[in-house]
Amino acid sequence: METFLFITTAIVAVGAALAMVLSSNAVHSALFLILNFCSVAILYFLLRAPFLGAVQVTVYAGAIMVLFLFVIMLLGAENAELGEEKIGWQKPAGLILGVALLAEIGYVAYRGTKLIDAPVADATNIGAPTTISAKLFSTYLLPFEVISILLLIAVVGTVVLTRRRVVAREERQS
Amino acid sequence: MNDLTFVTPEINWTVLGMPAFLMIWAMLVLIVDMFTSDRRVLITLSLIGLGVTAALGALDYGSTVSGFSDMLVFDKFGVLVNWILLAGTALTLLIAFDYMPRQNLNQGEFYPLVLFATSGMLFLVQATDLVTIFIGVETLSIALYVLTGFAVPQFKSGEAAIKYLLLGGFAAGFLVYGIALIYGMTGKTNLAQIATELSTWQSTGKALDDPILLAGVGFVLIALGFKVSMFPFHAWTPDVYEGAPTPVTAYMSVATKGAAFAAMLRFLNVAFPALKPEWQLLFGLFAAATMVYGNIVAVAQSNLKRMLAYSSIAHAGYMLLGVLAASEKGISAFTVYLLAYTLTNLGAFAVLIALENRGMPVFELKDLRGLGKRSPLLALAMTVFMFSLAGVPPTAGFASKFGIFRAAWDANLDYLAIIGVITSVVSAFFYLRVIVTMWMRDAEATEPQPTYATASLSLGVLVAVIGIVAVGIAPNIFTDLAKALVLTVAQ
Amino acid sequence: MISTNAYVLLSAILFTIGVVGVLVRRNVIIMFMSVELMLNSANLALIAFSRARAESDGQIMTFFVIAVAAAEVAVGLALLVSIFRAKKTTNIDDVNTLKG
Repeated sequence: METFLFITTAIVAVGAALAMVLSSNAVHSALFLILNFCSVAILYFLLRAPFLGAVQVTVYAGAIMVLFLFVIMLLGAENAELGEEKIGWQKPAGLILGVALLAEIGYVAYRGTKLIDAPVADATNIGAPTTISAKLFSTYLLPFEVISILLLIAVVGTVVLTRRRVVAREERQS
Repeated sequence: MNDLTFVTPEINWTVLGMPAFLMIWAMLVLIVDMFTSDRRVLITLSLIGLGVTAALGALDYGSTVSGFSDMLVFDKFGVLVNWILLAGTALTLLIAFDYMPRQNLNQGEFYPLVLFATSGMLFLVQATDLVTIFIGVETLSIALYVLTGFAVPQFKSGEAAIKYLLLGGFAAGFLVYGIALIYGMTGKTNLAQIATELSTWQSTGKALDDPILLAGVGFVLIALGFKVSMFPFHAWTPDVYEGAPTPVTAYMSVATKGAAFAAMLRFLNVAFPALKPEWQLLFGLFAAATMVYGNIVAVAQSNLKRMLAYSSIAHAGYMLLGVLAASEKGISAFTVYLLAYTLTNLGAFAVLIALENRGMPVFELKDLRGLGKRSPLLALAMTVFMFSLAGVPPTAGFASKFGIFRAAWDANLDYLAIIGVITSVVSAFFYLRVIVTMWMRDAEATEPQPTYATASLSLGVLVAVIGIVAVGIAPNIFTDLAKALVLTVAQ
Repeated sequence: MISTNAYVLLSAILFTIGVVGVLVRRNVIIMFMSVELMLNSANLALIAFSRARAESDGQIMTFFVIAVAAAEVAVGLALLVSIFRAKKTTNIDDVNTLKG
């Protein structure tokens, strides 16, 4: 059962990712990406990370992707190509990197069982909200607090970037 | 039910002091900005904050403390690099002070955003865990994306910011994947613990050159290489530097580099001394390519901002030599180089800012013609900066380059030292061309271009010139300060 | 139980698709989504390793990555909105940015 679920979900995830990259319409891309995020969330549940699976669905597939869709539709930017100039090095570089990463993948597949796995019983509780929160607020307190600063910067930045420059305009006209 | 065992973490204020104070201060400036639009108040507050942060570092200077499950460390190296970053930030604010309103960029959020970016950098410099390195990199990056796009819709600011953000996100992807692979293979994210784990591998006969582990290390270095604009990952640099508001470009070109190099130094020397031959070889090639590429392409530039962008790529190559030498000498030479480069590059950008008209950037080389007659003091300062960038003797640029090359030579990286010297000679060509243009060519424009050497900008330029000459004449003062710090990093 | 290798393999495939997407596509929004795919695949690897080690550290790192990704998306989309809005009004601005 678990194997079946894994294989199906993995195929859906890879297929959705490919469709996302290949699609010419940004709205379709966004929807495929949501599909990918949801299937990855299922894998999180299989990996004993129920809390993060829920976060993945609500924050990633929910909030972030809805924001994406909202902006695409707001701007009418389904086919937006901002930078007109083509950068010549990018395509070959992309292909070389792709090949290198695929070689790495092949190696992992070839090496088979070498990555160690802990016994299942040990891993049952690692994803429980209590375990995560206990660690988050003790060992990882510092990064947790700094993340809040980071979010504050993002909020300030968003306001700065999108605020209409009324003052500047008036000044220019005078 | 599992019972919740919660251990209240110990807050170590010495370790946290510098970044935390600056973060809180930035919030304070943000709040003050709501009530007043007087930018003199904002810059004064910001400079006070930077000064107090620097003083906090001085309080416990010399001791080595680590805290927060060893995620952050307070040591001499960290404090010294932080001081350089704080000085760079203060200079940036001074040269930006009159520029921002002149270009219609009145928003007061500029000051807190710069402080936030700097606090992220201080955090990154002190980080000794992959988690804190990731968060430090992202904190400074997000603030910088906003600052790069600060001038939307003017210039090419928006396009530059979106390019920076996409490639920055790309680098972040590599960083996280690299961290995942390293965590997967060693089970640790703490730099010192990774080193311990690897030494147990060695003693049990497990091969260290595991491809997955190497890929993880490589991915993290790619991400940091993006931030310092190392050769194959430099492609964003000229466009972003050209499009961003000039003070932001100046700030990015020095501060981001310094912080990311410091993180790279800790990452390589603390966590992976066992893999030293591997990364020295690979990154030696990158460093050589960076020096050659940056200098040769800079020769072909007629746009000054782009020329300085390529020159900053070349200087990243020189700093990389100090990182690669991985010796006490190398780390101390890197710190001196960072100081010299910070002062010099900020100074050079300050001169560009003084010449930049409202909405009409003066960036072509030919716009400098006749500057020697129009405004001899500014031209004199620019001459000092160009000499220092080229590495001509009585300046800081010479002393620091000399230190870097000697450290590389002593670390058996002689081929890199030789390439460094040769490319320096090439670089002298385009730096001297600026000087020749300023002093020996007459302006062709009929109407004289105004210059904006305002009080704050002049102060910034003056500080930079004095610093460059001081470090150039008596480099020992700073090198001695930078000597003992090294042990805490290289262990 | 599915081995960690299988999960890491899957995450590597997704990561590669993301990398190629950023480098090959020229549509800004799709490039941006490819970056999100890269981060997401890294998260999958982290969680797989976290189970393999029977520790929650990898999951906590994932938590941070999601928060950072959200911040990055907010800033990126704000930038896009302001660029697009500026494009509509560029002409007026160009006239007004004459010297003086």
